[in-house]
Amino acid sequence: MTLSPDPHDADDPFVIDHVDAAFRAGTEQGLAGAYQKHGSLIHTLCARAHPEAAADITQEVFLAAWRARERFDPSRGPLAAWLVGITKNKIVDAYRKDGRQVPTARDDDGSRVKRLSDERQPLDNLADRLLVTEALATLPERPREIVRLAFFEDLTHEQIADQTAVPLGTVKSDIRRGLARLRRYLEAAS
Amino acid sequence: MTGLIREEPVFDGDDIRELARSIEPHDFERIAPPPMVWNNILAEFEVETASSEADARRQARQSARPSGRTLMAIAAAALLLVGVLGGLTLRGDDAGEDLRELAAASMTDVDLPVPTDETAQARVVCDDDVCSVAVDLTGLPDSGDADLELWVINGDVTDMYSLGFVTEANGTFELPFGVTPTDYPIVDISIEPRDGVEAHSGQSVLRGVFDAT
Repeated sequence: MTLSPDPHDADDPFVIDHVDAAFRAGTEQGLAGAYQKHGSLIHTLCARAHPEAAADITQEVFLAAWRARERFDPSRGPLAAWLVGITKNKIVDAYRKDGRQVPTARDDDGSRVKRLSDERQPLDNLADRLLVTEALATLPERPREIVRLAFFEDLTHEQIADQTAVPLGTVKSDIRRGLARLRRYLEAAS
Repeated sequence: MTGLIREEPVFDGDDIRELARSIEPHDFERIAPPPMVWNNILAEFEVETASSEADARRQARQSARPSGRTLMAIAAAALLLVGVLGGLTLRGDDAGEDLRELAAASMTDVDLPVPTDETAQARVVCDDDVCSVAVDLTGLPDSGDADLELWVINGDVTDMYSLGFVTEANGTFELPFGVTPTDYPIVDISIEPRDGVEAHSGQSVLRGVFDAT
């Protein structure tokens, strides 16, 4: 497999997205842009964590985020991650309002027991998984594939270089920057 | 930054590798929120914007006459109230499908370039997935060899969406995602010559303005 370099590979994690900035600035377009861009991510998290109240929670998240937009600092992380942080709190609130516990023993779809070795709650884990897939989708094609091979397929840097015909130095740099991107998403939502 | 105190959880490569291993194919899938979610957010946004605008106006001691935007916000507030109260539930004709009516407009030829004796009622109705404009005309205005096209237009007439051609006295036309009666309060039927030009001809024959119901 050969991956061509992406001409738009300006993967600087500190570049501030224009939608994020417009949201922070408080324009109606900022709100609409944020919803257009992140509505499905937020609703997916709600629908998988609390299916009965998903639409209400999604609505609450965007309104709460809008009211608190001055507390959003685009330089500390992407808007998607900040919204996910708010969403987790709203989901926990919704369960508490019903006098229920956030499910802990099983994964959100109930199909398998949580198998992560750490003690993070399934809600955090679900949110983190969605954030990783979201962050991956923001990477240009070549780094995205290289990061996927490194973290999902557990290939070594050398194996990735062989498989993709991308120079080893580029593989390492893509992984380093890809990891920085994923970490930025994960930490901003924690 | 001391390097000793971690203010935020830090994810290292191993954490992310472990997380990546737990990711399943459906973690890449996304579920779009139903259109009502955005309608409700927008309605609340309008209310909050209007109240801050009103505060500013009071402070400036300006005219008490509400702006078009404020009027729309008032409509939006009414719309929100409808949402809060659970909405007006209409019983659909088939299989008891629930439809919520958000807004309605009476359409006439008043002040329009093309006169007609016909009138129409337009309603914005939503189910869980989609909002539509339902039009009910007393009859089809005479359009000769041209078509009748249904539009929704924003308040200052700078932006519009075509919803489709009106070929019968009753019809339902889906609203594109994100297009609401709050932002596009004018409902319009125009006579469109079959000249291949997609833009509005300017030959409106019926028009109304949505009020929240």
